[in-house]
Amino acid sequence: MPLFLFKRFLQALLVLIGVSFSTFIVAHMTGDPVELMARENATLEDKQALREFLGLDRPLAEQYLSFVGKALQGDLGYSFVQQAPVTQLIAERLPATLLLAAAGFVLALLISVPLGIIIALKRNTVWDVVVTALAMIGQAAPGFWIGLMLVVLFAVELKLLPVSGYGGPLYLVLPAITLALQSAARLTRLVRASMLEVLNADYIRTARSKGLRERTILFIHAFRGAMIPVVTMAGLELAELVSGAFITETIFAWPGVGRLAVNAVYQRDFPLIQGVVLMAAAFFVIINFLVDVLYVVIDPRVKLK
Amino acid sequence: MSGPMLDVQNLSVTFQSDGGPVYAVRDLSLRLAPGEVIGIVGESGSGKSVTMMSVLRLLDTRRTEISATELAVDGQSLLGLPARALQDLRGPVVSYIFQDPLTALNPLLTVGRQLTEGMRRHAGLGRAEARAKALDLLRRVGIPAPELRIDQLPHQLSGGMRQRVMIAIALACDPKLLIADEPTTALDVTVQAEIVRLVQSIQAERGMAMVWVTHDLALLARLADRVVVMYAGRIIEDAPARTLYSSPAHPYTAGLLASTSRIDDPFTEQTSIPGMPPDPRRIAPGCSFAPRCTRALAQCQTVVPPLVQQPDGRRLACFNPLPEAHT
Amino acid sequence: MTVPVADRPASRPFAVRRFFARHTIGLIGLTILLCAVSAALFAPWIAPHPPSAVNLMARLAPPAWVEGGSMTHLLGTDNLGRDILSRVIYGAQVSLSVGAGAVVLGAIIGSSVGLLAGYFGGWVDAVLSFLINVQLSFPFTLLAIFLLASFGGGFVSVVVVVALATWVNYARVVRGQVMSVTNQDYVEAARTVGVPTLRILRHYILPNILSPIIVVASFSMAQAILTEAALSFLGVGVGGTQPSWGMMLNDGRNYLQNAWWMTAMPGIATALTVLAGNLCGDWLQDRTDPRLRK
Repeated sequence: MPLFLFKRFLQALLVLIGVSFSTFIVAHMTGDPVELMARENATLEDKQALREFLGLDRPLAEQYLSFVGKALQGDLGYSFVQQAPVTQLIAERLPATLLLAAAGFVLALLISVPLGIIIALKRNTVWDVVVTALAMIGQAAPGFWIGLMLVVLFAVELKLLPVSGYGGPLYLVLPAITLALQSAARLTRLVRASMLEVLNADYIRTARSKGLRERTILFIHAFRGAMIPVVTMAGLELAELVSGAFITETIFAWPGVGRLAVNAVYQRDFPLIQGVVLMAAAFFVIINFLVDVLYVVIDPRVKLK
Repeated sequence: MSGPMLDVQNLSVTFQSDGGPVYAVRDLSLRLAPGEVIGIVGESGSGKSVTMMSVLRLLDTRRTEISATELAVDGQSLLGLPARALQDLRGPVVSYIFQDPLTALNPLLTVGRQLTEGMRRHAGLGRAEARAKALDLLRRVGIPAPELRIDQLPHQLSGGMRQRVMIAIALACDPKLLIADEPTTALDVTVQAEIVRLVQSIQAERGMAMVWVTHDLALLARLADRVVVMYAGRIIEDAPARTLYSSPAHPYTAGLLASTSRIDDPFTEQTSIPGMPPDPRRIAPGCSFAPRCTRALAQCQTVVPPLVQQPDGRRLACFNPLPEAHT
Repeated sequence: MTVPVADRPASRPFAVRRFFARHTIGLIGLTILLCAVSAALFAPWIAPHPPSAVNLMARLAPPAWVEGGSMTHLLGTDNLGRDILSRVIYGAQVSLSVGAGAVVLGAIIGSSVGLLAGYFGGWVDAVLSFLINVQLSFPFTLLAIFLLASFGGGFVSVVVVVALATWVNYARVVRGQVMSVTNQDYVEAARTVGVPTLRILRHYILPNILSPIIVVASFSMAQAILTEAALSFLGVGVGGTQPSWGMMLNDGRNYLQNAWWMTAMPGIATALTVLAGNLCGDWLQDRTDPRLRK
């Protein structure tokens, strides 16, 4: 493993520790879980026994270490509201969320990369103006609102697609579009800007001076360079998509982790919330690390640093 | 072949900028014979690079308007030539060496890839043939261990080596006309001389026509058969090198020469031309150099001096040239 | 006769380009923002109805231009017969005050962190950059919901939470800018001759980071308004009786089938205001970023 990746790996590890610690602290500050868990007629002794049973009487640092130790073994605690281990609850819902996020991500890339390249090549034409304007609107409108409007149009008025729920591929269409649009809007503008910057580079003029075909110049010389910032952003967008999935899942009654978490918030199910936050943060960190790995693949210069 | 290698007549290049049109080149005519080596000299912004870039339309076409009554390379007119046909000329007929090899080479592609893609496109060479020729070229431009370097990326090479690679790329398709656009400006002084000598020897060996674009008049003394001096988008003097250096006729040329340091005469005080080059966005009537010129006449402020062929073989655009100063 | 070297449409792209290059973007952004601010400030005088006036006789009335609509309720009414136009106008108060509050708070926190990290470098920078990284590794929406559900909603909580989401933007930009300014010779010189740190920060560094902060502030304002809408939509927003766009969106969600305007109108208002913030940001960035200046 190149030194660069090793450094990034250590960084990711540090960040994970930071994330787990702050989640732990916030959860600790949100009130005494014993008060939430104990039965209403519980005596002080009962509560004390429960506290000892849960290990809450031990020093904070020790509690944190045991929390991390358990998390590493896949034990994220127990949801008293749902009467099930947090890990199990998340594992049940994870496939739906991953499906939605993956569909949204692929869709966002499929829209933004070709569109961004096309308007970069046709810069300052009517196409460019129209697509850029649309992208700006897409960036500005709340993603979930666009989703609701799509529901009105395609589900309520045209009756082409189901309003909400989970089932066949048709159920995936609106949630995936809803999730993808904002990322697509941001990425389209980024691809355009990045492509324009590369096309203005001196080495493109050199390529042109060699008499290469325009498509060789575009795909061999410009595309790779233009994709470097896009890869960084796309990684962040994927993380953003997981966040966005929380609202999207709520709108479309999509049985994923997001909806689970939002319901957990309403039910004040703190172990579950804590588990989901930790999971999502770990996902963020891993994605960022993978982006760095991909970076080394695309940009050979990084290897030497 | 008797026709000129390069024939440019009444070329004008205008850029569109946010601040309005920039008149980069105005009504420029220039001919270059096969095998001839000329130098184009002028300050930054005088239009020297733009002129050469516009020959094969390497400027951003969206922002640039190029017009000419004739623009031909090797007998083939480029006026209205479709982009596809133009591509066939880039490389085998005309090729370029650019100023800054760091930015002019693609940072993400290997030396070999950048060197061979032109040959494969134009000469239709296979992978192995192209690689063999690329190795020969790298050897010719003086790169040690070409077998190692060919698979490296530009940033793994030193500045001088990168420029050698750039030269190899320019030579890859055996061009008939080589345009070197300030090929040494971005390099260390110690490397500059080596690169100049290299290009010079290759030119002599292949006998191709060549244009050196530079702001360094002293450099051209050793290289060029003929020197073209540009100011504010126009040619103001065009003379055989010997004539120009011994007896500059245009006050601007004389000023340039005076401000050039001379190794053989270190005691002559260096003088620079007072004033600033004009803003290419504003076209004043008359000679562009008139505001800085000590010999300006009333006429110079109102009428653009035409570029006129002189009996001694030079072309000159001046109403009040320096008297012949034979030394 | 002079002929063009290649056929090329000349004038039109330049016109479009100039249209985009100049102040148009900023003017559009500022105009929308001004409209939103006036709506918020003069709501009691502009709004045709009180925002919470229930009129059960006029429930779910469509906008004026739709069949069955009337001029009394230009944008229609909601499930309780409340005038949507009036509620959208009043909603600007919540969105803009949350936005403004979050921008001020976020800018103060973020700039301070960025200033410290950039100026002192070394371990201070390492620690603060680590904090920034941790913050960036949080799925923010969930964190916001988590915090608001834990500590309770309300105006102040929402502002704090949104500021927590945006401070990183300032911190990163300011850190980078301060680093490049600190390396300048004149700052180095001032340090060497013993000019006090605070004085250096105020006189040499602050003037250089003001314009990037303003750029980030415009974008963050837009982000804050979007976040507020999302939080209110999920029911963990400012709350209370004051209508907010996010809350209206949440109300409308249950009436998508028969009253799309309940959802459409507050969404358009949000989108326009956010767009305005982004446009101003783009425009300011073009004007101030020296790398983009030509």
